[in-house]
This record gives sequence, C-alpha cells and structure tokens, in this order.
Amino acid sequence: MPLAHPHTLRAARRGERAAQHELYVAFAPRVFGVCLRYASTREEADDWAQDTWVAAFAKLGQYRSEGDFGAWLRRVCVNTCLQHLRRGRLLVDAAAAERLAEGTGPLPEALHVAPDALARLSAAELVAHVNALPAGYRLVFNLVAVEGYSHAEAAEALGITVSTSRSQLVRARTALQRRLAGLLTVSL
Amino acid sequence: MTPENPFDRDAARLAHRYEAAPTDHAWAAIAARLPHEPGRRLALWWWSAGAATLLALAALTAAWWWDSAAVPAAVPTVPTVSDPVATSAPQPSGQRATPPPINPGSVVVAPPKPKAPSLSRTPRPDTRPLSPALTPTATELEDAPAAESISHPPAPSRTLASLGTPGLHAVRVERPGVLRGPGIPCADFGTRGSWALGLRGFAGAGPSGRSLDTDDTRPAYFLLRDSTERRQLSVHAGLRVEAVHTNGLFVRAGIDYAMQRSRLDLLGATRVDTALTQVRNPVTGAVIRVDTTTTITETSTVVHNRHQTLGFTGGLGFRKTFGAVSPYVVGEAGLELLLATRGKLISPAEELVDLADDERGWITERPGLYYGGTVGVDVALNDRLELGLSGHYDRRGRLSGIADPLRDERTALYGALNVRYRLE
Repeated sequence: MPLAHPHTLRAARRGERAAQHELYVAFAPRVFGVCLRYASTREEADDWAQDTWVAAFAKLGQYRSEGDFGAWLRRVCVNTCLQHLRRGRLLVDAAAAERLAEGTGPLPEALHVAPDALARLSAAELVAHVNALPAGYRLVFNLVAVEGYSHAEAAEALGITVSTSRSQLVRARTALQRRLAGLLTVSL
Repeated sequence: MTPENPFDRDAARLAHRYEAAPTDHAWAAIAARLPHEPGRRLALWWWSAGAATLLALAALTAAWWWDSAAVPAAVPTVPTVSDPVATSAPQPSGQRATPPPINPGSVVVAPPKPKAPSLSRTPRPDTRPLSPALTPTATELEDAPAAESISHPPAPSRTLASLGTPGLHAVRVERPGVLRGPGIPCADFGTRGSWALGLRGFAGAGPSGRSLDTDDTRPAYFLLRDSTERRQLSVHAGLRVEAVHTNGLFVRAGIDYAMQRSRLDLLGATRVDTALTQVRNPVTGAVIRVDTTTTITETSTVVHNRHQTLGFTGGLGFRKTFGAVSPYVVGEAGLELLLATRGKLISPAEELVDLADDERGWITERPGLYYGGTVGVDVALNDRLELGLSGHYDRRGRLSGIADPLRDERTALYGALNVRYRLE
C-alpha cells in the first residue's frame, strides 16, 4: 500500500505541481484499478480516473491528515464513478432489478466454496470475474462487499431499495462463487 | 464497514490490491486541468522586496528631509508669532513702518538665542503682562491695516507680546516673502549640487526560479518540465559606473554576467511489464491457475542545465551617507543576451534534446528584458574605497515571438559582495 508523506500532502494542498505528481505516481494504478471495476471500458475508466484526480486535488483541503489517504482517495474515486454512472443513467434500473429479483424465484443458497478459493486467484482475475457479472450485481457487489457501504448507503447511491440491494448482493455473491467453483472444477 | 461474509471479506481484500497502469498521457491531461501552481515563494519575495524597497526609500527620504531641516536656510527665519508691530498704531499703506515707542520699563525683550534659530522651533512667548500703553484697544484692532500692506523692519531684537493678552490672539500677520510654517523644513533646491563618480563591482549568488504565471495554452511538455525542474541556482557578477549627486540621487549603468544552473528530474514514460505464471496440479499436471504479475517501472533522468547570459543595464537610485555608512536603493532594467547554454531539455515532441545540438532552432533564446531592484549598504574604508553588501531581486522575460516554445519568465534573488571606488 503506497503511503503519502505529510510533507507531500501539504505541498500538494498548496498546489505544488511536483507534489501532486508525486501523489499521482504513487496512487494512480490503484485509482485506475477502482475505475476499471466500475466502468464498462478502459477508455471510460481512463476518463473517470482523470476526473477523480482533478476532484481529489480540488478537495485535498478537506482531507484530514490523520486518516488513510489511500482510503480517502478511493472514496473520492468511487463517488466520481457513481456520478458518471448517474449521469449516463447506467445505474441499476430499479424496476428491472426488482423484476429480476422476483423473477428468479427464491434466493439461491450459498455455495460451499473452499476457504482458499479466493487465495488462488490474483486480484486481476477476481476483478475480471466481477466485471463479468450483470451490471446490477457488479455495482452492488463492488459497493457493499468491496467498498464496505451499508445496504442503505448502496441503495441510496444506486437508486434502489434496501431489500433489492440485499438480494442483488446475495445473487452477485452466488454467481461469483459459481464462476469460481466452475473454473476450479474445470481446471482440475 | 468491513463485510461480515467471509467470502466478501476475502474478495474485498483481494480487490483492494487490484492495480492497473493508466495511460501514459493521463498525467499531462490531469495537469492541464488543474489550476495553475501559485508562484508562492517567488510571489512572496516579489512583494516583500517591493515593500522593503518602498520602506527604505521612505526612510531615506525622511532622513534627508530631517537632516536638511537642521541646516539654516538662506532665507532669514522669522518666528510665526503674533507680531506686536501689528498691534501698534496703524500706518499708511505703502509707508515703511517705524519701530514703535517702547517703554523700557514695561516691555520685555526676548533673551538672545545661543544658536542659530531652528526652523522646527517656535519661540516661546513671554507671558509676562504687557504695559497698558502697548495694549491695543478694540478700536485699534479693528482699524489695523491688512496684513499684506504691512512691511516690517529687520528685527534684530524681538519684542514679543503676550499671547495671553485679551484680543491680541485674534491678529494674524503674515510676513511677506516668508511662507514656511513651523517645523516644516524646505530643501534649498535653488542651490546646484555636484556629481561624484564611482566605480562598483559586485558578485553574488542565490536561488532562482521559473515563474509559472503563464497562460493556459501551454503544451504538455511545459507542464512536465515545470513539474520536474527542482532546484535552480544563479551566480551573478556585475560592473557599474555610478554618478551620485550631492542630494543623494544617482544614476548608474553597467554590465551583468549571470550563470544559472538548474536541475531537472525528467520523467520517462512508464513501462509496464506483465508476466504470466502457470500453476499446475502436481499430480495431474493440469493448469489450475494463471498468475499475472504486473511490474510498473518509472524511469527518470537527472539533467543539469547551465545558461550564461550577459546583460546591459541602467538604473536610478537614491543613496544617503551617514558618516561612513551609505545605504542605497536602486531600480534597474536592462537587456540580456544568451552567451552559452548547456544541458538537455524536453522538446515540444517530448524528446530529450541536447541544448548544444540544437539544429532546429526551437531552443534558440532571444534577447530578454530584465528589471529589478537592489537594496544595499556601503561602508567607507577610506576616502576612496568602500565595501558593501547588497540584495538583488530581478525578473527576466524573453523578448519572444508568439510561437517561441521557450517563452518563460525567471526570477532571481541573490546577495552580493560589493566593492566601490570613488573616482573623485
């Protein structure tokens, strides 16, 4: 995990370009990785990452130095991605999500996946599997499971109900586990 | 909030480690959208130097005025008190007044002053009672002639009336030809001073920097260069011929040599290497997973650049001598020519170009204007030689066309050791 030196943060807050570039070099791969988890294409993720950095430097005065700068930056990045998704109306269609949740019957039971199933995967492979999920599943899984949003926060951010957020997460998790189980089964 | 589900927790931990290299041009695009970097320290120094120059100028001017006030002026000085002459019997207009009769027993004479009268002092009036014979009546006061029509004889011994005398304070008499007020000295500009020539040499060093206060249309390589140019040091040496007037004003002209050394950390393109590693089942030999290892390498090159310039300058200043110490301030402006340059810079095509191999001409620097201010102090070692220290601040800009890719401004702040020789 890269660290942001307080001196660098102070200089970047003052608008010194060299310090801002230093922060960018340290955190750009991680920011771009977050954007890739929410965007549909690499070009879109590139644009959103740029917007994230512009917003982060503009709001750097709001960052309290005692916190984890990486976590703060990830929060700014996720918010930027959500803004873009809202602007492009790419958020979960609430009605479609409800239909999907009702139409597929009862929630699937959790699969029994080996405890080290994820340990065998690289981060890139996991993200590739998550990105292969339907958009609704992917967004809820990213917000709740990965970013740690509560269902209420995720529901508000995505414009869906809390119950829909819960059901989407269960389905996303199950679909992901199935993909991983199938992959491991096929591989073995 | 940490996910409660173990699968979610592991997935989150793994996803948070996910990184991907952004495109190479991403930073240039971001930097172009960021607000301009403030000229923080340079701006601070700029305003500080300006304020210090103004303060020094004001202090020297005040000292000059104060000092000139102590010198008796050529015009006879007259205290501005109510004059008893005006209280005497009215005189016909145009007729020279004669001293009024004085009763020695009832009139006091001001004590003689031990020194020349100072302009800044008002004689203290004698408050002892005046003889009734000299006390004007109300009718006499009303019939007193206009102040302009009264002429006064020289007053070798001043006869002062009491300001406490009833009605006397209402009489205001202005003496013709004397318009100075108490405590406000006037320099005698009617007297011509003389000029003294001096020869000054100085040498010094200090930090310098690039002014980022330019327009928004700078190409990406400018932003990259600004973000990587870390430290700059400039060395200066100069020779001046000075002509100092006795009233303190002086003009000077001369040549300047400056060598500016800067260090640039030029960042190369980010190189991304991806390696795939197959993990196989030790029993069956089947591939159970493929690990992807991404290595991101940032390359950088440290370049030391050196520019040597020769300037021709002229300036106007003020210098005041207090015993052996002579502080001065001066503002200067001049023309600067590039003597030599060595090092590397990023070309508009974002290539590293050696300044000595410039064949395309885009690096050719044109003559530049510079202006600035100097504050210094000289200490006389003898009647000819002076040694001093000075602080300089100057700002340099190229005389460039619109398409000049190297249009920029630099500022320098440096201290210098001065040697001055008085020619006459």
